[in-house]
Amino acid sequence: MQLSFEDGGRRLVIGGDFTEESDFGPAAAQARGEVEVDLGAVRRINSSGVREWVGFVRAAGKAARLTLHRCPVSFVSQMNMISNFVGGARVHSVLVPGLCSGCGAAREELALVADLRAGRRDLPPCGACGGAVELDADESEYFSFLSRVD
Amino acid sequence: MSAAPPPVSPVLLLSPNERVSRPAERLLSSAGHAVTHVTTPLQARTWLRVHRADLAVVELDSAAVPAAEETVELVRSLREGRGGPRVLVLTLARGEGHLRPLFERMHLLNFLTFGDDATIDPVELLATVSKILTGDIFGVERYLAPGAEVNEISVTGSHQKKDVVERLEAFAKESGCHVREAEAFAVAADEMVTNAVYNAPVDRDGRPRYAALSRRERVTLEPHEAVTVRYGRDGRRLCLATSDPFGSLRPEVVLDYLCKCFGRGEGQIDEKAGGAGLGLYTVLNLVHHFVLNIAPGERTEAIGLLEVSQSYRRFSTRAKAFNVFVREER
Repeated sequence: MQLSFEDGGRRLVIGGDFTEESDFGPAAAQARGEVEVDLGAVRRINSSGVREWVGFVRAAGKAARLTLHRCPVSFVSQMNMISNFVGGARVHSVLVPGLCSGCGAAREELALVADLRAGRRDLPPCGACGGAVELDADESEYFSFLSRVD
Repeated sequence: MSAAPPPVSPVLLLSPNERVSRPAERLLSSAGHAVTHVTTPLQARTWLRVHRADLAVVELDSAAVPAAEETVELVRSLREGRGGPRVLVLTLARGEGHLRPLFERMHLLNFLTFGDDATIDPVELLATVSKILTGDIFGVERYLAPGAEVNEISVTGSHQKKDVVERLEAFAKESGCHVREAEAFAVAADEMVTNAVYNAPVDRDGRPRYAALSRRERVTLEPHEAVTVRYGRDGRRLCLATSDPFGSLRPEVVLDYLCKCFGRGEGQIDEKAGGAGLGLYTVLNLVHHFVLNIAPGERTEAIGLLEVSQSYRRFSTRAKAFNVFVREER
C-alpha cells in the first residue's frame, strides 16, 4: 500500500492493496481537520485489510473529518458488505463500472454521490469510440451503500 | 469383467416449477438415481412417511405463500432430523437478501443455484449429489470439464502468500476474466491460503496453533503440514482449491461466522487477536460456488469456482452456490 499526505496534510492519497501489511497508523496520527482522501488507486482489499482500514477510519475520525474521493469498485463492494466500513467519513465520489455498447470496452467512470442520490446515473460516452456506456453492475446492489453513508 | 454399476439411490425431488424439476429429474435419472418428483411440501412429507430417500432435492423459490413457508419448514425439519434423507436445496440465492436467511433461518450447508432461465449446471448438480451420496468428496477435477488445466503449488509458510496471490491474479487475467473478477479470484486465494496457514493447524489436542497470531507474524509449516494450492480452468470456469492436512474446520463454526457476518452487527469484524473473522464471508461473496470438504482430523479442502466473464455485472450478480461436505468417520 502507498500512502502520502499532500497540500499540507489536507489531502491523503492512498493506493495499492489493503491487507494485513497495511499500516495506517502514521496516517491516523497525522490526520487533522478536514482531510480529502483519494482512494482511486486502491486495488485489492482482503479481510485483514478491511479491519486495518476500519481501525484507521475510527482512529482518524477522532481528530479529522474524512471525505472519500474516487472510491474504487473493490472499495464500493466493501461498503456494501461491511456495516461500518467508512465509519463517520463522508463519501464524495465513487468509480462506477461501465461497458461500452459500441466497442465493448470495460470502463470505470467517476460519479459524484450527490448526482447518484439525485438519480443522475448516466455514464459519459466511451472515450475510445464515442459509444454509449451502460452501467455494468446491478444498479440497486452496487449503489446500496448510498442508504448507509453520509 | 465390467465394473458394477453404481448403487441406485432413491432421491425425492420437490419443486412446483417444471422448468426446474424437468431438467433436474432428467439429470438425476441419467446418473442412475431413482427419482420421485413431488410438487408440494405436503406431498413430500406424505411420501417420506412410507418411503425411504437417501437425498431430498428441494427447490426453494418457486412456491407461493403458504407453500413457500412450508417448504422452508420441511427443509429445516429434514436438516434437524436423524436418519432421514440428506438435503440439497436449489435456489436463486442472489444477493444478501436471499443468502442471509439460508444461513440464519435454515442453517443450510448444501445449496446449488439455478439461473433466471431455470438452467441448472449439470456438472455441479451431479458432482454435488454424488458427493453427498457416496462420501467421496475431495478434488476439484469433478467440477471442471475433462482435460482441464490444473496447476499445483505447495505452500509451507505465510511468506509465500503474496507470490501465490499475484500468480493467481495473472492466471485469471490470462483466462479472459474481467479485471475485477481476476482481482476477486486473487482475494479469494488470499483468504483461503490465510485460513489454511493460520487457522487450520492444530496441536495434538486439537487446539489452534496460529489462529490467534497477528496475520503480520510469519508462520512456517513443517513439510508434512504443507498447504496444497491447486488452480485451474476449463475455458468456462476458474477453480481454486487449498488443502491442509489437519481437517480442523467444523461446519457449525462455518455457519456461525457466516451468520455473524450476514447479520452486520457490531461484531461483524472480530476485534480479537488473529484474523478479522471475515474470511469465509469474503470468499463466499467473491466466488460463484464455494465448497468446503472436510475429513475431520485428516484434511480440509476449500474450493472456489468462478464463471469466466468479461462483464462485471455478470460476475457480480451471478447467484451463489455453497456446499459443505463432511466425510463420516469410517
